[in-house]
Amino acid sequence: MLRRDLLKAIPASLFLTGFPNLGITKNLKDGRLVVINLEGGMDGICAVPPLGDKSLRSARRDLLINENLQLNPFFGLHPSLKNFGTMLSADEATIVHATAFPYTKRSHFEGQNIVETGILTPFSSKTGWLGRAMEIAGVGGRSLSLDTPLLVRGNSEVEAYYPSDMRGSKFPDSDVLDALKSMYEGDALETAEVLQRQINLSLDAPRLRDPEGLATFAGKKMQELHGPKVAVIRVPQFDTHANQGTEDGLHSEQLQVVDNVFGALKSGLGPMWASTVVLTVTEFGRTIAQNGSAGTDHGYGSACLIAGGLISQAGIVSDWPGLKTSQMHEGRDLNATIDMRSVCAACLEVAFGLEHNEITEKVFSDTQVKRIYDEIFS
Amino acid sequence: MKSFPKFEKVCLIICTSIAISSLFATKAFANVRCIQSFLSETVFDPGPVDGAWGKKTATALQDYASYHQLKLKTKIDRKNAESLCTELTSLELKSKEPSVRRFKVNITLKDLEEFTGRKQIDLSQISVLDELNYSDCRFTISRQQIETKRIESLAAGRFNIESGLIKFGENSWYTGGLADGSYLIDQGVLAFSDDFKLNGSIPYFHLFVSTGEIAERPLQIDFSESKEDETWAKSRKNKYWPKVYKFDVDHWQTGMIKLRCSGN
Repeated sequence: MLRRDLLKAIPASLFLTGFPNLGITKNLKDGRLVVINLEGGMDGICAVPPLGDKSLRSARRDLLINENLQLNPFFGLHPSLKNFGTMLSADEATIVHATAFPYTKRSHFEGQNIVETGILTPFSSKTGWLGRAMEIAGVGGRSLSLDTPLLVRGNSEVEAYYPSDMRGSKFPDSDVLDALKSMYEGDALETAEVLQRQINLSLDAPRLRDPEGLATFAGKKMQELHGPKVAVIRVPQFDTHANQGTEDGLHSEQLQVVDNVFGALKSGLGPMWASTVVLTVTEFGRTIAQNGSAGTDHGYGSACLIAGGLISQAGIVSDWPGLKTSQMHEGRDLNATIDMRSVCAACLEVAFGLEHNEITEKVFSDTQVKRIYDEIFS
Repeated sequence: MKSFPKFEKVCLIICTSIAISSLFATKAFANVRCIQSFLSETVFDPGPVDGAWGKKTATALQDYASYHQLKLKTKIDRKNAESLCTELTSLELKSKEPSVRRFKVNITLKDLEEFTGRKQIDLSQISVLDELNYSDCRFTISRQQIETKRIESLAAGRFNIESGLIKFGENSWYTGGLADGSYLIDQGVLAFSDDFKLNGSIPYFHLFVSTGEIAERPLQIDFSESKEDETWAKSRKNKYWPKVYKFDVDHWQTGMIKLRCSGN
């Protein structure tokens, strides 16, 4: 079994929540918010390459991609992001570049915790920023998942409900496959490999528990009148320390999954797409220079992809820090010049109509978080 | 007193002037270097930090000032390097504050088509038959296997025509999986042009699914090159309907859409 197949076998997850509490829901905006959590550290320089920065070519000689979509004279878009590119051209998407949650220690565990809690001291909060915002907006209730993710946990209890009609994953659990293979030898092992080959045969067909299927399911549920207002979709495996690849590499495949999720959400949401904002979050970006094994290591600044009908003009929101050694964070990473909490605050503001001051005070417990709503949504 | 010979006098004058001018030059060099090293910390590239004032240094400084909307008190010129350096140094703290800006995105239709590999449907390029309005129409989509000639229904439903544009309504696909009526409603872009020809594109689920679970993503069928099926055109008794278009799908099947509205 190839490592790549094994990685694919780790399933994505979907969490739908924010059912309107009838009678409690404040008279706020009736928007929908989807967070796509890119676990492992998404490489913003690969997804939205600063082609106009001369330092890019020398830093990434084995990872350069030629078939980018030219967004403007400075920035390009990765070829896997075809749906997202179409949304950009239709003014339904925007990009925030050189952004990160202000966390610089490069640990997945701490970083992911901060992405979910929105509080800068890791493991200091038992609730997530989205959960706290939902409480203020008066949307809460059930979570469509086996466990409730930290991101959407608030102070009040959240019921869990798992839809039994969500069938089948294209990829069986990797542990199950390994356990099966370890039990057999010789001919029997061949049988296990035949099983794997049969699974590989239908690689292109989406099933409901794959990210694309989950996104369609999420979109359809969110379109309903009393359906959920919030969804969280996890896309793992962005941690490409080795053999990151170019157009066909592992990182590109994961970006393809993200792009399919964007496309499926749009078609699933139908007319509700007009009232939706979808954003990606990740714990950190990756190093500017490639490492010795044609991969990239844990970094700092990354890019955030935002889409949805609530966007009025496409653009790249950035205070571009540059790629020269003197401009890097600690001489190795893309610097983050935009606090990702500002981006999340702008999305909460546009989807739920919450006031920025209320968000900074009650959701992020930090009144210093700047408002960049106008740069993203005006 | 022994006087210097003439040659030595000349040499002394030259050497003194070189020394004085290099003293000034060193100062100018330091000032230009100060400007360049300031700019090299920003995204505006002044070229090498070598103390030599050139076009690159001037352009980078100009760009930096306009990007940050700074009104420099000093004119950007080699002669003013000293005061420019002082001014920039006093700005240094301020310039470290984030300055978030929205860069424009400008994607051409040609680039997008090349990037996505999909033809973008732009109905603004055709002259739409504005006076065409119908409120009760039905359509069927079917396929024919090339080898066996067997015809199978894939989808059926309702649509309206509003000022020449087709608005898909309630419809369903028989192909299973992720296929459902929302695809045609959201992504079907069809219109009749002045010559009563169909233009635009629809999503088309080209596979049946036995387990009701898997479906391939729909293909995009583009009608801009397709012609109305002549057999149907000749056989119709009504002036306009049915309109039938056949389209190529793959080596195994051809597709067909049949449109029919009631009334004239």
